[in-house]
Amino acid sequence: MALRIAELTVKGFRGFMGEKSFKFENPAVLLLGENHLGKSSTLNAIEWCLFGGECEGKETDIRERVNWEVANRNLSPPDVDVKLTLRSSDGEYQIRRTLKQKSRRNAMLEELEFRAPSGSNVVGAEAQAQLSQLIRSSSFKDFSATVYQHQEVIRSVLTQEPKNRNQAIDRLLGLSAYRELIGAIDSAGIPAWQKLVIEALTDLQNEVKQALQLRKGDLEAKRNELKGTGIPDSDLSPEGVLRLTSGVLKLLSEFAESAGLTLSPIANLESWRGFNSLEVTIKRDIGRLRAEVPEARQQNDLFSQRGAFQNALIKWTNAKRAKDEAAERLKSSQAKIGDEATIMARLKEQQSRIESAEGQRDSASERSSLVQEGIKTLLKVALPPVQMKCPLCGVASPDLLAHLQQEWESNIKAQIAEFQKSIDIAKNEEQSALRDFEDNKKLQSQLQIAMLELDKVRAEVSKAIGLALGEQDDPVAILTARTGEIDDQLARLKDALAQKQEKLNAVEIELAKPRAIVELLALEDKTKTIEKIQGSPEYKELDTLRDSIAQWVSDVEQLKEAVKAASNDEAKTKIGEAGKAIDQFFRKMAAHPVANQVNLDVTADSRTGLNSYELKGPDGKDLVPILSQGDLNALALSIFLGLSTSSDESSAFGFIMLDDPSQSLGAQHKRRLAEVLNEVGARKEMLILSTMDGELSELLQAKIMKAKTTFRFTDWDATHGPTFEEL
Amino acid sequence: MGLEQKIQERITGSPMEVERKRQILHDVLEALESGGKSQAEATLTRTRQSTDKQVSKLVSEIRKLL
Repeated sequence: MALRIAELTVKGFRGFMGEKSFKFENPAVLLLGENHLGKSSTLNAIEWCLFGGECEGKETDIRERVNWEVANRNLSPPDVDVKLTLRSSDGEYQIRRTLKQKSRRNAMLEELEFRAPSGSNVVGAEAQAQLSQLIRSSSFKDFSATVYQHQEVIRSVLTQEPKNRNQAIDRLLGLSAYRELIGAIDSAGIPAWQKLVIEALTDLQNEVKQALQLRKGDLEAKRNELKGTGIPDSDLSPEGVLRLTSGVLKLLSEFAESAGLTLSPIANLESWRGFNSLEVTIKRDIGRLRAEVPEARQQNDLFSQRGAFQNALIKWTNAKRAKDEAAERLKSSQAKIGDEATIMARLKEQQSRIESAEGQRDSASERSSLVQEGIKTLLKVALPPVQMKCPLCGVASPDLLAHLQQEWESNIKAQIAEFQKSIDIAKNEEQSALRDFEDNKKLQSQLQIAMLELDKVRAEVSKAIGLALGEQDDPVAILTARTGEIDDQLARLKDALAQKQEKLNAVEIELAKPRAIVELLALEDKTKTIEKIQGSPEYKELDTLRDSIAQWVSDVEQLKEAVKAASNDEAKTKIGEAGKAIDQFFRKMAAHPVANQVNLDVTADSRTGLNSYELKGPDGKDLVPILSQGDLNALALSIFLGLSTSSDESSAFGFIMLDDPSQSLGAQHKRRLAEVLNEVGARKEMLILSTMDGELSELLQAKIMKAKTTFRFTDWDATHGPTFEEL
Repeated sequence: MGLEQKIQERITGSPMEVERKRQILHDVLEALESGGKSQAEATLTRTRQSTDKQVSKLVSEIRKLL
């Protein structure tokens, strides 16, 4: 005997507040009443008591179960307690699931208790294990597909969109997990990722190959270059570098000895890799020897001497020119303004003229004062004209005032002006003579400085040539002659020095040979390094990694195919088992004049491999376009009822639960649904039906032949939860 | 018969290949059951990321040698 429900007690679950009990004593249980009065909460409580947290969340494939609130939000603290008594041939099992918050800070804690007919009571994992055994490991999804018909699952089947309908039927058949598994594999974007990774690995391998080709090309070019240098092939080796370098050192040593010079201490080369630093040392020493050979030193000394002579010549020439120009300027000036004695005579003459004119002017001024004083006095006393003797000229005048005024105007005033004019002219002349004197002095001074500079340069030239020069000597001629002598000596040195430098050039040419071999060896080294990379464990691992990626991708793809095949096979099996019942229920419920037979076929979609369902009529054509919403609802219910009844023998549950199944159904559909449910009830031990539909309620009361327990939900409020009565 | 077993029955290949695919299936199904499709996808993505790390490390080591 499969399980049936005997009793349900609910407290604090969703719409429930205080504890409420339902005794399901008859094989048909009807929950009647309007929406939002607690009917669905009652069915949900049965489901939650059996599956707990499995009923919640996105994974249920039921949208309203996302963020689903198990505990009544008006109860604080939450206190959910659901007890379900299941009856079987063994006796009664009691399952109790609670959800409580131990304290305000604690998370909600779900607990399960399981009591067997024997009276043994277990909790926690043991309770879960015994419950699982009792319900034969049925999952929540199995329960949804065959025991508890959810409105949302039915609604999904009603869609006309094939993709969504396929998904809904998969869900109805309990095959969503396959679809999700395939979706997860597709979303992981594995083939595209593989392409990118393989490209990256291939690019790297190509890069290594190209680098090797490049190095080999360089190596070949270097070998060809060396063929033209005359270096024998036997020397194209590390030993060749050592031998040739040793030869260079020997040549250098011989040269130093022959030139009477000392070679820097240079250690012999031990490995060709040390050549670069040794080469620097050798080149530095060659440079030093070039500078230190006696001929070079002598040449340097001569160049230095020649430079000094040339500098002295330039300086002498400049100083001489400066002195000549100063003398010329003085001479030219004196020709114009006279020499110093002439200028001094001019100056004295003018000073004498000034002195004389000033004396005359002062004398005239004294007389002027007397006349003016006399005029002022005569004007003050205002006497009538009288004859008086003029105090200035001694002549008797009938009108002295008039005589004095005439004397002032016609003689004294003009005389004073004349004297002053002479003074001014003489002073201007005196100033001009003074300026000429200063100019002459300045030119004399410039000439003196130029002569002193010339003497100084003469002393320098004397020092440069090592001979005391007098004014009678011609430094230009002497310096030119000496420079000529140096040029002769330099010409004689040039050949001797060239021979020495030639020897050092030969050493440098010899040094270039090991240098070229070292470059060849370095290129060989680089080539070997890349060849070594190709043989390295890391490089080999690239191939291993590429293979393992390919293998993993192939495994996942094959696994996806296996999932598709399993999903398709299971869909076929389930539809095959339930097909007859589905057809029978649909025909009865829909009573469609054309769609009087329904064949639910499943194939694998050619593109996605996912299950693709076709609902075909008796003519083999797609039924969906001619079905109404009511027919589609009838079809969805037929699939659910077909699956439920076909799983009778294997299912642990002897009951089915339908929540508001009459959506979109007309009166005829409802009547026939009631008749079908009566048939299903005959095959199931228990039917639990919930409806808000008054018409269906009456039909169920009338059509279901089994004894019924009816609960009428009449009210719901936040304080007490649902109010119901057993009819 | 559980989902895992039903799929396993359709997995083909050599014993080693079958074992590999079974292990992938087990991991992905475990993730699917615990956290849904996103977790199952994350399980595969983790394998990808772990391989990516290996690839990056190898590429970097070889570039150093170059």
